[in-house]
Amino acid sequence: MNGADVILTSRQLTVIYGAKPTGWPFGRRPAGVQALRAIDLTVYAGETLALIGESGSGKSTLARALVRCIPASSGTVHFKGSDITSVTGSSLRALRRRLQIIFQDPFGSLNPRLTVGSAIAEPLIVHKLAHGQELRAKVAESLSLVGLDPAVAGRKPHEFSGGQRQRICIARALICRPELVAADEVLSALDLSVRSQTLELFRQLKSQLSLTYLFISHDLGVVRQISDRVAVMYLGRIVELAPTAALYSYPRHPYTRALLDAVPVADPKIERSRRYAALPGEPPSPARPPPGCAFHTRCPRAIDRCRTDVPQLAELAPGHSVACHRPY
Amino acid sequence: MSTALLEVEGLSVTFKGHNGPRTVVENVSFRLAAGEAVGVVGESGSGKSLSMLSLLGLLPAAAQARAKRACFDGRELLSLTPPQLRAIRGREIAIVFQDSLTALNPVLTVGRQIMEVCQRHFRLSRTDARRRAEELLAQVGIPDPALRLQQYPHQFSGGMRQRVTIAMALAGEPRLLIADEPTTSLDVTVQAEIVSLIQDLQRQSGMSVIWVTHDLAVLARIAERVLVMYAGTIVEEAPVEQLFAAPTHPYTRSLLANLQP
Repeated sequence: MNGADVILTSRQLTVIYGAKPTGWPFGRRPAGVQALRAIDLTVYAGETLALIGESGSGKSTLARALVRCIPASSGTVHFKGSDITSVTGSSLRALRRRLQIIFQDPFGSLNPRLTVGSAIAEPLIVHKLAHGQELRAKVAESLSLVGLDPAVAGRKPHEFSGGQRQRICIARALICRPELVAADEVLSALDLSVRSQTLELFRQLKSQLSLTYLFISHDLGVVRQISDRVAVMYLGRIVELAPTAALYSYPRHPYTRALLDAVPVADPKIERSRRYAALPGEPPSPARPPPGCAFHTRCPRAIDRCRTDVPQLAELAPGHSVACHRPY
Repeated sequence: MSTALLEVEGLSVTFKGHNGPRTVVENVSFRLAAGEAVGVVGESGSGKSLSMLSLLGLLPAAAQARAKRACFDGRELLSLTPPQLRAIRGREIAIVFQDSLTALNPVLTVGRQIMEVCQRHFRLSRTDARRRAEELLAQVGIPDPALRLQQYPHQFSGGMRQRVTIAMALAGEPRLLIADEPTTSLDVTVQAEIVSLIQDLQRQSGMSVIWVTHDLAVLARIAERVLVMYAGTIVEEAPVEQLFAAPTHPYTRSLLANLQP
């Protein structure tokens, strides 16, 4: 990735949920849940960066904070060199045009009372990019871009299947030609066969429109197919960041190993003879994270130091960073 | 093959609709031996869950099941009276659903819900039922079972909650466990644990398992035989090794192709 343009960077990005004091006069000030802990991350233009981890690891929070869908509690986010951490009002609205997000649930993210055409047209109207004939032409173009017939613009969301709805969401996200798209579990609500078509669509749109993707998924097989780099998250921190091939062939963090190992192999002979690497228990609560390395409570390699010192991300090979005191 | 525990022949499920009846499961036949683990794979809408629910008399009111034979251990499941069916359901055939949050009653403690199954089927006293519920929670790997019994479903994580529903299913000491996508909403790490758990429990108790899923890879580990469903019919049935090595139906092939990265 050397030499590529940086599109998005975060420095010490932290998000705390629920830390606002309650309105009650004698109410306590809740400590909140630290969903993201001091994330330093660089996203390069034109790449697909995948975020993986168990539920509650902070992958959605990170993607949302990066595209300014939610505010940062501390730290900064830079988009193409300019600080977007605290932009508001019209400059934030202008930014929304360039940073888009697609959500997991294609049923919940479309208004059932709007026709598909008006849902897709809405960004154009909000940003005053087109009206009249031109608007309709752009909606038609966007629909055909995602492989739908432009004639469906007059229909309502309930007339479409899950896969088609996800295409509609993609058409809406892409209509004002964003530079970066955060795709938050966009395939998980879809059936297997539709999933591979949609994945192919993502791939094709990326090269066609020179997009950058932040791709969140818990499906490690999908991530392997689509991403250039992968960031593995655990309890609000990035614990491993590596080019996809390197991560899958030589995972260095014990958590990454356990995660990859938990994926069933589609081969009965291998699958029956192997024992899953034990990853006992579940992630600790982000409200009360353990001291030191957050993973030490489940880690097979934990030593005393892991219980006290927080490991920092360190580059062990070119482009391959790991936050672990005892990496493989 | 040893004697069949469950034998289904020509099972169909039909929904009444505005535009006339719609058959969503058509002519499904399969056999399950005692102690055997069978996987049923298919996409949403392929009828895999409905065929299982129909055997337990759990279909929605608008649906009707018919079969030439649906014989569980000598009894015709589809012609049983509701009380007869209730004696089988939960006792001899238990089911674990995908969504553990809706499968549990949010206003009752987990302990009450497990004890209810024990008391319903075994006429245990409250003390004995509580002791049994505690045993069951321990058996499914929930730490600190005595304390957890007094907690409510929302106090459990998704994986732990699914363990509770498994404990409830085991409470009747069933001879057949139907697992309807029990790991679909869980993380891969938790999925691995639940799969191992059900596999261990199956080995200990010798019960049969029908594992319904859309994820063929899970079946590679757990199933001895796989039924592939598509649009309401079984399109392929094969021992698991054979299915993965040499799938014959085009749909199975595409499922397998989608699995390989």
